[in-house]
Formats: sequence, C-alpha cells, structure tokens
Amino acid sequence: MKMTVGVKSLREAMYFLSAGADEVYCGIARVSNNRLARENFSSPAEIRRVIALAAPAGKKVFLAVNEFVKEEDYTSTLRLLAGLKEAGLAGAILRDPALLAYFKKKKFRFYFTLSTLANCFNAGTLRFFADLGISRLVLPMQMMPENAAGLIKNRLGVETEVFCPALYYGVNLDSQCYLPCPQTSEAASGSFRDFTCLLPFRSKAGTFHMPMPGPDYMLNAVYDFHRAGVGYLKVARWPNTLRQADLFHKARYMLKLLEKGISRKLFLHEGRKIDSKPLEYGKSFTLKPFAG
Amino acid sequence: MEKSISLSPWELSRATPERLSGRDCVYLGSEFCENKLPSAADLRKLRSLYSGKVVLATPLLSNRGLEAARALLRGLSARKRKFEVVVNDWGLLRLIKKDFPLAVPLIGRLLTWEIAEMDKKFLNAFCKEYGVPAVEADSEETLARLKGFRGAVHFHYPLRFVSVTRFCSFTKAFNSAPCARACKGDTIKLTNPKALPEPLYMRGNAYFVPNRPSRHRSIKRLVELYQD
Repeated sequence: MKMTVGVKSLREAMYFLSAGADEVYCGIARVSNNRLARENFSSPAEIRRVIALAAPAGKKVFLAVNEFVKEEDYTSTLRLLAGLKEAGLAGAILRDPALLAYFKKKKFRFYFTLSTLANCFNAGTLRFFADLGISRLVLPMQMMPENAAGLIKNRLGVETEVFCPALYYGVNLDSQCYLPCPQTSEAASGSFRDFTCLLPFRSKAGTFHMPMPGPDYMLNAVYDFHRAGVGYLKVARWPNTLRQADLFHKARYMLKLLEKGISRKLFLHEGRKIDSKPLEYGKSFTLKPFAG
Repeated sequence: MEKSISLSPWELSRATPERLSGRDCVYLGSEFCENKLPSAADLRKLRSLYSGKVVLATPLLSNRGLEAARALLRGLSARKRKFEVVVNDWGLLRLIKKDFPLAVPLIGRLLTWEIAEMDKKFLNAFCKEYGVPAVEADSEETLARLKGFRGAVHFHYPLRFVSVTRFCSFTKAFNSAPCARACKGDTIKLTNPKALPEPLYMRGNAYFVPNRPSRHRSIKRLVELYQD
C-alpha cells in the first residue's frame, strides 16, 4: 500500500515526500476543487516545481479538480492538464461526469482518479465511471470493507485508494452534507466552535451526537482494507499542517505494522495506543500552513 | 400541478386509503436509507390501499442494495407498464438504462444537487440519453441552480434535506447491514442554538430543516412527506 498526501505548498511537498509519501496531490486556485483558494497553489509554475521535486525520486504528483467545472472552463482546464501532463503530472482527481465525458470526447487520455466525493458505493457506479475513463477510485469515507470487496477486486483494472478510517472519517457523507462547516466556509475559521457534526445536540431523549463507529471498528477497517488489497492510503489536505503531519506519521506507522504482516489482534492493540484526535495543534480547520 | 405523498415501508404499515386518496401518485421507499427499500409485499400492500401510480424511491446503494433494487425493478417491469423510479445512485441509473426500458428514472435529491452544478447543455443531453424527464428537489437554491435544465422538477416538502450518514444512530451500524427499522417513521427534533439558529429534524439516517412548497414555474409535482 502506497501513501498519497495532499499538500498546500512546495514546502509541504518537500516535507511529506522526504518523510515517506509516495505521491502528493494539490490544487490550483483557479481550477475548481474541494478546498478553499488559500489552501491551493496559485500557478501552474508552482505545480511544476513540485513535479521537479518529486520526479527524481520516482514519486508522483496529481492535481485535484474534484468539484464540478463550469462549461466555460472546460477548454482551459483541458489545456492546463495537458500542459502539466507534458511536464510530468501523473494524473488528475475528478468527480464531474460531464468533465470526464468532455475529456473522453476530446480523446484526452490521462490517469484519472475518481474522487471520494463521487460516492461510488457499488460495482454499477464503478462501471459508470470506468466507462468515462477513470483509472483509480477513492472509496467514500463511509464505505467500509464489508461492502467494498467487489470494488477493490474489480475486473476493470481500476486501482483503489482509501482514507485511514481510524484517523480520518466523515460523520456524514461529505459531498452530501450542507450543514455549516468551517472547512468549506469562506468565513473566518475562528468563528466556528467546531464541525457541526461533532457538536452535541439536545433532543427529547437527552443529548444527541451524530453517530460514528467506535475506534475498534475503524482499526479493523484499516486492517481489512489492507488485507483486501487496496493500493493507496490517503492523507487528505488539511488547513492545519501540523495536525496533518501528525496524522500522516500515525498513518505511516499503522501502514508499517501492516506491511510487516502483524496479526489483527496485535494491530488493534497497537492502534488503540494512537491518539486519533490530537488537540495540541489547534482545530483541524484552522489554516496553519508551514511557512514558506 | 400533480400532488403526491412519499412514505417508507414502515409508514405504509400504518397508512390508510384515506391518507393516500386524491394523490396523483405515491412514492414508496427512501432516498436516504438502503434499508427502507420496499419489498414486493410492500408494493402489493400499497396497491391494496391505493390504485394510482406508484413511484419507487431509492437511495445510494451498496452492492447488496443494488441487487435488491434490481429485483424490485424486475418485479415492476413484469407488469409491462412504464413506472417511475427515483434514482440517487449512478450505478442504478446505468442499470436502468441497460436492462429496464420500462423504468423511467427521476434524478433524486442527492444527485440533483450534484447535477445542478453541471453544464446544462451536457445535463440536458445526459437526461435525454438516460430517459430522465424530471428531477426531485427541495430547495429554492437547487431550483435556481437548475436554470437551463429542460426537464420538470418535483418538489418535496415540508422538510428539506441537509445531511445524511450511512452509519445509523438507531442500529449503530452501517445501513447496508440488515435492520429492524427501529427508526420507524419518527421525526426527532435536534437543537443546538449556539451552532444552528433553527432546529434540525432527524428522520432515520438523514437530517432536515423545514421548508415550504415552492411556486417555481419549473415545478410539475409537489411531494408531501407522510408524517403521523
């Protein structure tokens, strides 16, 4: 299993690539993607520098175009991707079927990763997007191993990627959640107490928390995804880079244990020692990039 | 303007002919929970209460759910008449196009939010290719974003969808696992005034806020949520 990591700057790319990431991905502010402009690179030239950094080590760089793209931007997006492909970009992460269909019509062949935001939960959906030219699928965060076997061992040649559920999980389906959210709001992040989905609510029956599986379930999921043959473990772009780095090292540690062939029992034992919710770096949605 | 009502299998078990009468059609199933797909017996029960058009509502589907939906579509196709299916899953949409010519797909609320973002030229051609005459919606914002879409809109009220999870708070399991439908048809009010000025309403694995029927000219059908 390889590690793919989201980055917001050249410095972050240097950090994560030297710390063991096999791939990095990033966004560019003028191209629609699932992060705020301030979490993106500002020009293709900056992306080229990341490619130049990664290529000598045999590592790859991807570009996130993982939101819906307006028709008037199709041509410029194609031009941008074609130019970066020539410069060594390994692929693009997308979710928009219309954009994929446009690339197909234009005979633009590239390594396309289907974003987790596309909610591919079954083999029929995988086939739908495979027909549009995808080469890799990021499993939705709420897709668990017991339902994913048919997607991981697919006959379409589509590779699979997962988040590390023990460390990173969306309480609700993230592409289908319209609750106020600090991570997607242009408003100052300081005005949010926390993610709405993590706050306590009052109900007739008492305090209510939006449900999520327990830590052991999530550790088992990591173990089972690895055993099932998922190819890539993803550490997403986070506004707070120190938190992201913390998460990266914990995910890498888990991966090392798995690569050694550790038993499930021992993996759970070790996994339980890992604090999956560090607070010492501040809120995850507070923008704290590495300087430079 | 058509008038309709939507209900889950559990709500169907409590429904009376009087609650369903006078509707142009009845939606059965769920756009949010795989475990609320109706059974063949549920469809028979609905037909014993209501003689009009039945619309099958379906959510995002796991492989197991997709197979269950396929079985339902087979049963409905055996009647040799066209029928409508609310679709929230690309895989099901593909399946309908490939294998079920009598099924008329209506793009459900989860996918409508997404397709409303699409280039409208592509969207109109896409809907033509997949035989989609209408989409489901529940917010003025979606209606505005659908500008340029040539099909009809079916508007759901009195609750607007705002979020959904696949991990059920009633069963404490992902809702591709079997369940006893412990959520019933309950609507649970959730408040946190510091975070949200208005309450949220939880129904099964989805969260909503109140809305009102829209009078937008694109709307051809109003779909009322069945509530006890």
